[in-house]
Amino acid sequence: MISLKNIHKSFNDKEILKGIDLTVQDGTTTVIIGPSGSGKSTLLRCINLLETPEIGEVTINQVGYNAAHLKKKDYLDVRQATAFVFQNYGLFENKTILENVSIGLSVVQKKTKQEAYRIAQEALEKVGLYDKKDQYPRQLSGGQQQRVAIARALALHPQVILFDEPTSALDPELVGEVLKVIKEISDEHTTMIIVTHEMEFANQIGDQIVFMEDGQIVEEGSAKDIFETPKKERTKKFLARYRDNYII
Amino acid sequence: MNDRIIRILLDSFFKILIPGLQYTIPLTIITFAIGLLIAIAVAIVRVYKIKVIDQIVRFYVWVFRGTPLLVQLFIIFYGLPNIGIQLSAWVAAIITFSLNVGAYCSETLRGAILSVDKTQKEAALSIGMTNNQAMFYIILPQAFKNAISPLFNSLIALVKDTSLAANITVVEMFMAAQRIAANTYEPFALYCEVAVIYLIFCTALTYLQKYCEERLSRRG
Repeated sequence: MISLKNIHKSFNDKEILKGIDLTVQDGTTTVIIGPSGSGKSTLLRCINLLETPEIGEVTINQVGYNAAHLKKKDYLDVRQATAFVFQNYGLFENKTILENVSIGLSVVQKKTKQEAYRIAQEALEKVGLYDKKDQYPRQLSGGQQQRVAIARALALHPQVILFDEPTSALDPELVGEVLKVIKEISDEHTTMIIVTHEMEFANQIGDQIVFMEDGQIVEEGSAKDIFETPKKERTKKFLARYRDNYII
Repeated sequence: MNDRIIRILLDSFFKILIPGLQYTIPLTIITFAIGLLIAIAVAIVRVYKIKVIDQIVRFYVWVFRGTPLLVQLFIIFYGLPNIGIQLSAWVAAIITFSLNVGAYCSETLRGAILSVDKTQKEAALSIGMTNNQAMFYIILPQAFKNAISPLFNSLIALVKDTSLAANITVVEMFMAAQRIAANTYEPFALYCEVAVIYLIFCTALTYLQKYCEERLSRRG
């Protein structure tokens, strides 16, 4: 179980997160939606401490990390318990596809090279890109790169995978292949938290939907609750924008 | 050109080339290698902004980029004995050239490290790497790729700068040419000849640079 308690984060005196509480059950997929600038990505980055909250507590598998007294080791522990998929892929440009997926296993988890390669190979096969193992990231399309990034996250066997707008940087025709892979691993009950603007996808995949605006959680519930019977006025207004374009 | 000059040029060619192979090239390789190590250390200190040490290395870069190499050579070889530090010409040359090239390359590398996309570091941290692991496995290799052209610039400049070591009695190529020119009274021919040999060395490095760049750019 992942839980966040009273997370506060500011940049240059502007409060981006105004006290977030959220609980994510193991094996479920939580999707965070909301307008741009509402703090969704910042929240995700606070979970693996790429951003350090000023106040609040992150609990991963019963181990609590309080923002007030974080040690160097806490950062490493939290990051080893989580994996992050970036909007712009974040693959290591100087490493081959296989090395990209295996380096965390060998350097961080201290597995042997053979063991790391074996796990990386499995992960790459899962996203259908094992045949690209000796290529470099820039030789792949955006969709393929993002699938490798997902394989890298999977290979680490984290408690939770955090997706930060995984399809926002992609050409429209490449979005599908990435969403398909995310759907597949969601079906295997990997714990995931996804920030996305793909409402149809959110509806399909989310066990829990969280609507955020202005640094706060406005409403949360099942996909049915949020998309079919939203209670808050702000949620309805936000979703209405998408209803014009999509059938939900 | 008369036969005498041709004979002098032919006779002297190896007499100049051999000190080149014995001194100029080793001096270049050794000092560039040490200089690069200094540069990496300095660049990392400056990127991490490590307290106090950062101030010290900034002072070092400021001094070595802001004073002539020839003056640095003179201070270290002729000046230091006054305060009780006696160095052989060879050691003085290695120290001076290493520190000098290290100062320049540190700035090249610092810029190259800072130009590596921020996501690369975040991605490295996100998979659980420490700052140091991220630096050595991910950021530095990419920084070196970005820095390859300016680093070769410094290396090629260094090949030629080693001729200044003649001024502190190191018998490298230029000193050898000077001696032959003085004996034969043919400075024009001899200095042109040594210039051609420098040119050959630097041309070889230009090809090496091209090879390195092509190898690195094949990575996508």
